[in-house]
Amino acid sequence: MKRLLSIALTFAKVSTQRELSYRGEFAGNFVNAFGVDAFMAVVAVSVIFVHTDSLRGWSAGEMLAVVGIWYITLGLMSMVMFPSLNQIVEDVHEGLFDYVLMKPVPSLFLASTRNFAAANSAFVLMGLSLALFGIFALEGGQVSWRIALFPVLLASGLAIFYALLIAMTTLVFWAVRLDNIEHLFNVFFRTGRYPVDIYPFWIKGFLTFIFPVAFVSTIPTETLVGRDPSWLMALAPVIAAIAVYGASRFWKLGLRRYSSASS
Amino acid sequence: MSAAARTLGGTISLTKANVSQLLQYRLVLLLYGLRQVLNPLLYMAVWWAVAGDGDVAGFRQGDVVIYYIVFMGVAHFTWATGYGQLANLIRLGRLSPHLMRPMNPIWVAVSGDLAAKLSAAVMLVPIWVAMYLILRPQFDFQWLNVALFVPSVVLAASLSFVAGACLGLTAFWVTKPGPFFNVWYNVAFAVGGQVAPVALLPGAIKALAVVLPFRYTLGFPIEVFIGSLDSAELALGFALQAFWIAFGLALMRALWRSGIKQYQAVGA
Repeated sequence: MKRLLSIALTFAKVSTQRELSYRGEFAGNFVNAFGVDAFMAVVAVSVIFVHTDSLRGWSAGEMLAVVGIWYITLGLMSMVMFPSLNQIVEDVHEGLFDYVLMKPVPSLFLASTRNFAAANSAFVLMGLSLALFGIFALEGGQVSWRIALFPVLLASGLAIFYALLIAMTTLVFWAVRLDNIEHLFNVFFRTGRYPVDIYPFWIKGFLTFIFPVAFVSTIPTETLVGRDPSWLMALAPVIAAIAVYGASRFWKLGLRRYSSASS
Repeated sequence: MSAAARTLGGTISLTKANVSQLLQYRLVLLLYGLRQVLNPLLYMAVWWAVAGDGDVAGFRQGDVVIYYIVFMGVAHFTWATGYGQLANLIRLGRLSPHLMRPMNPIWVAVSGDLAAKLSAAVMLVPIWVAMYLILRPQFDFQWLNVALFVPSVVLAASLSFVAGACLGLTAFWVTKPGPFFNVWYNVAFAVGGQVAPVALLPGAIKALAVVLPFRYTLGFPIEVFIGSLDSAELALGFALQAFWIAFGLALMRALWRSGIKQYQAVGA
């Protein structure tokens, strides 16, 4: 375990060093996150709350908190998950995946920690600022004991999405051409930037159980704004554990299909 | 053959070639279709909830639904692809062979734009029709509005193309004009009619949105279709649409002329 952790840290360090040589792009990400995305998020929420005080039970500050938490998740996934998972698709495509299998480390671990995109921390910090602004400046910061559940729920949500992304990536072993996986994902993921309660019940169901974006934005935020815990909150860690286990089984199944691409 | 006929012929053949090329990427087109339909769905849900049993600034729930259904189609036809095409031609030095041909390379971007819209429509239209059938908005079509809608979409698509081309042509001076486009796209998202119909924007922002070009690339044709504008607003809208196109064309010409003078191909 300790060995794995130090491997992951080394990968992160090397990737960050590589990325820091492109300082312009690094700075550009921060300008984009804080200058454009954050501004537009605030404008969009303000436009809605000019016309109403509450949208299906959510106030302006609470809504901003959801958007903020959504950006934190997006930022974390773009830092930790997307870069490595895209590399798997590329490597399988080019027959370079052999090198992952040859290393004396569990393949799924190695394949999902190889890359790290520190520049996307811009979106994590921006999301955090939006959430804090929403909760403290607009809601007066009435935080209850439920905040203790937040880290657990955010971690569960991230684990669920890690499993989902692994499962999507594993498909590469059957269909070698699997471009745009990140693109497909983003199309659906964007629907989670507002509370899922605003949707009609069948879309809400879809976004909770089929493409569970509710678990990374709406459900963790509910603990921050002092909503009563729902049964979904209790279920989140269980779903996360099952999802990660299922994804790792699916990964092993996929590996058996892999037959290299060289010669 | 006259120069105009040659340009037209060239654009048509390039469009055909581009369409057959793009139709190979059916999955990409499907994803594009899904995105075009899902993004507006979010704001449809928002305004549906705000309107509730009454209305929000005159928009009842049925109006909200029809607004965003029309939005899905209009956003497709006014989608500016010229930006990326021109920026890439210039940045990668691929502009050079086009300069040798007896046709302004802007038309290469026009044909690429038409091809992208036509081929993506193959996937978009079924999804779009399905959305209409699922949501079944209550709406009375006014034939006069439908008749005015067609030219307003064509003008919006032209304006959007010209704006994208102007942004793309900045690649003559900046290596990666991506951030400019990102700003344009985001502002258009906010005040052009996606986050909310322009009529729902608060006072000062609404006044600004009416004057700025963004609404005329997207929201205006939808408002024409649903008939939320009186005749003075309609006249003003078409006039501003024409004005911004003329302005954009002049700017595009100026950018092209001064850009091409200092263009140096990248590579050999």
